[in-house]
Amino acid sequence: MKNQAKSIKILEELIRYFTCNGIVDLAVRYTSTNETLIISVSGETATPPKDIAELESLLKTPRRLEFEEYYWSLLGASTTRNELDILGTLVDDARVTYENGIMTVRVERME
Amino acid sequence: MPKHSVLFRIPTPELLPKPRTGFIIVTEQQKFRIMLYFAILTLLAAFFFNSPLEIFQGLWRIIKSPSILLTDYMVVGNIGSAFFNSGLLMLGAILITRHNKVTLSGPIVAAIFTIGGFAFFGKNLYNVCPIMAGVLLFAKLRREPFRALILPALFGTALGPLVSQITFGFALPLTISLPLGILSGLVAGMLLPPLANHFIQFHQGYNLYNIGFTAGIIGMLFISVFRALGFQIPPVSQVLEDHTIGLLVYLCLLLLSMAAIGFWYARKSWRNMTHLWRMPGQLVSDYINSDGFGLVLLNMAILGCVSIGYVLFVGSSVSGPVIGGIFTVIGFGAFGKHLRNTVPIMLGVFVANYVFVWDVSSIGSVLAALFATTLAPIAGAYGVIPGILAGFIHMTVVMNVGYLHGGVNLYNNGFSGGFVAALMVPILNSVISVIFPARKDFNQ
Repeated sequence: MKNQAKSIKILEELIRYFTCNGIVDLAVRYTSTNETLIISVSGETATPPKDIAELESLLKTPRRLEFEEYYWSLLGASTTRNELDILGTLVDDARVTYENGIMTVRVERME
Repeated sequence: MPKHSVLFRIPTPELLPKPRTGFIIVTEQQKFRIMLYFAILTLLAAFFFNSPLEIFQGLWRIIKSPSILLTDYMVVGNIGSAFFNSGLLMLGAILITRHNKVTLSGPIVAAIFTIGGFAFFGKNLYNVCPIMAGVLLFAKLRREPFRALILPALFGTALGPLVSQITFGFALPLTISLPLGILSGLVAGMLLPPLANHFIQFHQGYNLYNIGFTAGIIGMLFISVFRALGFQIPPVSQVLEDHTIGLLVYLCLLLLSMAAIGFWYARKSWRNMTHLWRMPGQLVSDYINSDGFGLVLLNMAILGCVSIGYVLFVGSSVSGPVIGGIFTVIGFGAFGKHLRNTVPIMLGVFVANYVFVWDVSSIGSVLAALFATTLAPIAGAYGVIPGILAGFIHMTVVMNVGYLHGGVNLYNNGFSGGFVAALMVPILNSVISVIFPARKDFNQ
């Protein structure tokens, strides 16, 4: 597994988003190979967060190597701010869905 | 106490911002040309002060200077050669960025202006090369593209004086000092990327000049070794005086054209400036991505005017280091600074001068006021009062940390700012958790 520390930070940042929005019963799927990292976090919520569209937009920010190497260690559980814009520059693809009371965020990163 | 008082606020992860619309998308090619214009303007300004021969002779003296803080290249060489040096290094940084196909984002614009600014007092064609080569070597060893490490490479040139001091400042034979200086620069460059990534957690992104903190630690390490070997680094203070008017004309031209280009590209979206002013500004705040290049140029021009206003208000004069400070504030107008989060910091430094022993118009104090804005995110996230306090504390700390690295780290305020941010942020969070028991988890 490459970049294990970065992968864990990505997961931390996603969990931070869910918990800050009051979604605390989470299911995490973490799949890492030498080529790809796929993280999917799901949680039950009666109403989706108001900024769900903005979340997807941020996560779809084009990958930026120069940001990634310098700033990735800022990712992680913080109660004072989010670092989703940095997260967006670390992942190649992202999908945010809300169906049947379940919110799911899935991110994919090519190593 | 209201949660979002201007004076004191509790930073919370607010709703994610809606993608800004309505601003004109500036292409990479257009951004490249605009940045080239600023570099060429600086380069050509050289010829209004000195003849080509004088500029060449001055540039040679600049290259041979030990360059440690505080060495004004306008004194070492002449005014024209300092401008020429600045324009050349800006051009170099722009072309390296372009060659590596890196997007001209907020941090890159900040890096280009920072390099241009410090080329008035410490960076030159000779001393930046080994540092950048060290970062390149590190990238090769890690089998990573250089563009992944371009930010530490550009900002890391803060350690340029380490190369120059070893080469020209220790009175060693050039056959020894030249390879030793270059080798030290290479090693320092290789240390920068891993340490910069590590130290950013120390201040949690509240110190905008993160490389300044990293370079301070590396510089301290090198200088400790040299001092242990018996080498001494006497303090230097060479600053130009009495040329304020000519230098102000150049700055006015730069800022007016910056504002004009900004207005052109921002068009009606300049009204969105209040959106930018609401952003805390901590790392990573790429204003070009969030608010558009036009608005960012306007923000940069406003910050430049405020910086010049401060220098003139306290009765100081414009010199190489002061232009360097103004350039850095302007550059970070694309990456974390704006009117609302920088003014409280400057105010804190201003007040500190009247409480402590420093003269508000002295060069050290003026530079502290300009560069202390590295702590702008504290004012942006926590409000005006913590911002003033940050500037106040910074003033006392920055006057004490320079000895540690002997002046080989040009971003002395970034070094100091790292300590101040690392000290203040946990304390502010603790205060919040005491005042508001509901926020007792407020520890990050």
